[in-house]
Amino acid sequence: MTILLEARNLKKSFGNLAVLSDITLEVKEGELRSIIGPNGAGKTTLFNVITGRIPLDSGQIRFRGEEVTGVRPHVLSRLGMARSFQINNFFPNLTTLENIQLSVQSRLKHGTSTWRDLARSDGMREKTLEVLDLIGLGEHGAELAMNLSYGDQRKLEIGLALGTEPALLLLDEPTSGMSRFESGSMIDLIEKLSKRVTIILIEHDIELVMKVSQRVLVIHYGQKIAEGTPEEIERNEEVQRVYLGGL
Amino acid sequence: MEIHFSTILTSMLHGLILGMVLVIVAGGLTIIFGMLDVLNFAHGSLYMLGGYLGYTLAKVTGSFWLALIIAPMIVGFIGFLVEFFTLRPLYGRPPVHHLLLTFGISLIILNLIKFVWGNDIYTVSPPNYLAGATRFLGISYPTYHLFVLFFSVAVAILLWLFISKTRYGVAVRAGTEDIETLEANGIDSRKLFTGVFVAGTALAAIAGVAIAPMRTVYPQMGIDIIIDAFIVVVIGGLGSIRGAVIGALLLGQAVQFGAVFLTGFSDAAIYIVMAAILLLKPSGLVAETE
Amino acid sequence: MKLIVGRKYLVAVLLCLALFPLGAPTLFSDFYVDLLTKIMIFGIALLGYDIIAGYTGLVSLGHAMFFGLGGYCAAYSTKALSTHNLFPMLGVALLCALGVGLLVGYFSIQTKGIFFVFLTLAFAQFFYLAAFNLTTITGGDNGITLPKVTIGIPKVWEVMVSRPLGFYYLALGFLVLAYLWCHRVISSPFGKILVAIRENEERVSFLGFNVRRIKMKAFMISAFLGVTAGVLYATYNDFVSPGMLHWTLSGDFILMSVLGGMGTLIGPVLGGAIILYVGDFLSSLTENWMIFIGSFFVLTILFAPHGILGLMLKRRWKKNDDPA
Repeated sequence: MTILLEARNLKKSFGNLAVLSDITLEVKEGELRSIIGPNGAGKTTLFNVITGRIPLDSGQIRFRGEEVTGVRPHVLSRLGMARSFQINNFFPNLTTLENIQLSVQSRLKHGTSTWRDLARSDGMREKTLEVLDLIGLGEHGAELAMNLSYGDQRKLEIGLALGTEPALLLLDEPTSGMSRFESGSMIDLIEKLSKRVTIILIEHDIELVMKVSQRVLVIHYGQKIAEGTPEEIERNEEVQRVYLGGL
Repeated sequence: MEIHFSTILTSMLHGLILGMVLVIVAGGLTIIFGMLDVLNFAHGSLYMLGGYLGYTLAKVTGSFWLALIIAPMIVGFIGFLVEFFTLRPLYGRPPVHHLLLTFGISLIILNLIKFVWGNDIYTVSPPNYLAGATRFLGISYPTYHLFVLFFSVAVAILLWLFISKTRYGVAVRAGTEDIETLEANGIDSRKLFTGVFVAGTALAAIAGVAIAPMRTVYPQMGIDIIIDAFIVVVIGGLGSIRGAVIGALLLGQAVQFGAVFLTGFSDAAIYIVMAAILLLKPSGLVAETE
Repeated sequence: MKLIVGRKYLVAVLLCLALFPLGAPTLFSDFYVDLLTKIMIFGIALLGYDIIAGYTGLVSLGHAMFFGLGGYCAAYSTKALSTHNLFPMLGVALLCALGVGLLVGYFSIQTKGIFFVFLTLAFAQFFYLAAFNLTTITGGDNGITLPKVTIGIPKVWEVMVSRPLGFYYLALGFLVLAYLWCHRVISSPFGKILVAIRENEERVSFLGFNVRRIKMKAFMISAFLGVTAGVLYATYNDFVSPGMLHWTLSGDFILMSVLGGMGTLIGPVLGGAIILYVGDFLSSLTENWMIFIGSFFVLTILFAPHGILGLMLKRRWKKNDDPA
């Protein structure tokens, strides 16, 4: 299986605070990799440097065999990397449908045309409906995004990433702030998605992580402290200590 | 033109005075921005209001000092009205709205001034004992100008003492960085905002009155000063008081020397500098280490 | 959002505008034809401004720069190309807009919010000061007088633009073209991205769009429309002066746009019409009519931030909404 993402020796400091210290990871195509760790461990920062949201201090990133260190977010998106955010980052005053349309539009041939009207042609309609169905928001198409329930908003968050037809999907705490009940459908969604796209998942919900992941990476103070299958991680003493026995 | 020491000294003093006045005006502007995230377009018109009010008060009471004290109080009160009735309702809105609002307020004030005082230029006489010139270091320099210099330095020092030594000052400084922590500590941020706004506008008014005997009060003064103040704030870094001080002093010298040694196009050079800073170091020339 | 105001309304307005001048000077004075011409010329500039400020959310204080640039290009063409024809003037102006727009835009687009305001202000003031001080080229504060212009194909078939009717219909024609173009742009995929940028610029880039390039395009559109309006304005008044470049004119554009309702295309044009008309009316009553405009503006921001059009549409939306 090919290696989709290769990140080597990533280092990032904010002032004197080293948030990422020499992180290395490799994600194979088709994997579902989870990243866990206590708050402030550097997980979101890891996503931020991989997706080009903030610059790296040092290290290298290769995506689909290409060197992409320091590349800007929109270029990475075009290469097939998509992400969802821990704090909702969609378009509140557009409808659910319009949100997804925008995402789908980015991959269509005349997506930035100042002339043509895409609404009916170029597969826009089919692709949009497909994404909406996948995330289970087909009935909420006409609702303004800001009026959706929180759980549905988190799904929209993912839907926006899906519309860009990514090869690699980075999900940042998708169940953040969700109730137990809402998390259930999210878990189902993630499992469904894992069959179509490679996923890297940041999560706090250990149960979810153990259930869906193939491999788990544990980060603490910006350093990798363990990596392995869910079972291995569960038994790992240092990980248990870090989570204060809360595994 | 021969370059004498006296010319340079005079120019430097001029620039210094312009700079110090700008410190007061831009200082208020930058604190208001740092604290409230509002760029107060109306700042220039309030400075101007201070000047015109000062003129009238001085005429009516016969005392320049009374004018210097009362005018800022009136303007501060107007600042309070503006903050309370127009800015407060807008605090949740996108920053564009604040910009537009203060822009609208500035229009109203500028035209109100025109309405009350007309399009005339008024001279304000300094107190008698400050009129005339003082001789020192080989030059003869207007005494009142020197007063403005010392006065604005005094105001600036008082301000600095207030900001760094008193509890309220600390709250203001903290507020420019992180308002949530302040609120967590039980400080009413809304009252603080109002206070800062009132103080800032009162300061602008003080500058307007103080500079009146030097430059007269004239219809363009609001627009002239706001552009300079903006430039200072940008150069110094939005929200940085120290930056505003340094920026103002620099600009004062630059404008003065530009006016003396270059010709009209020197104004344009200042805009180029501002543009360059905005692009290369938008956080301003002065690194914020507080 | 489909057409903000129904197509029927717009066609009706167009018909009224087309037939309006025929009522002069019998039904009403030529003055109104003149006022409407000015309103329509401003409308072209305001359409351009709405694209960049209303739809993309990039409020600039530099739009007057393009307006004035158009005027000075027109003046320059009469000297350098010795032409009185409007079309070469427009050609020069559009080329200039390309150059200046790319230059200013390239730098300005890298900033946002308050920095963008300042930067566009700085650029605009730079041009203003250039016009003011380089008296040998620009005539300084005295401005440059333009000759009466013609339209048609240079040297082949030209006709002097008559006043007031010729210019009126010329302005109307350009306004209609400008509106049709802007409407196309707004309804296109590009237009949807603009609105998205205004909503959440970061996410747009994470979806794979080159936000900088898209903003540049929008900026260029506003530049082209701005200079077109400038050329028309200067040739209509036979005069161009540094005032056409001053940042307070940019402020006026903002005033008009907000009052009418930004992000609607029609709104800013309406706002311009109101301010120009009311301004003219009020200024004959009192010298201080700006106080009313300013107060009205402040009230708008406080209570009706989507402008007059926003108010009108809200009422219509409320009627159509199911009580839910």
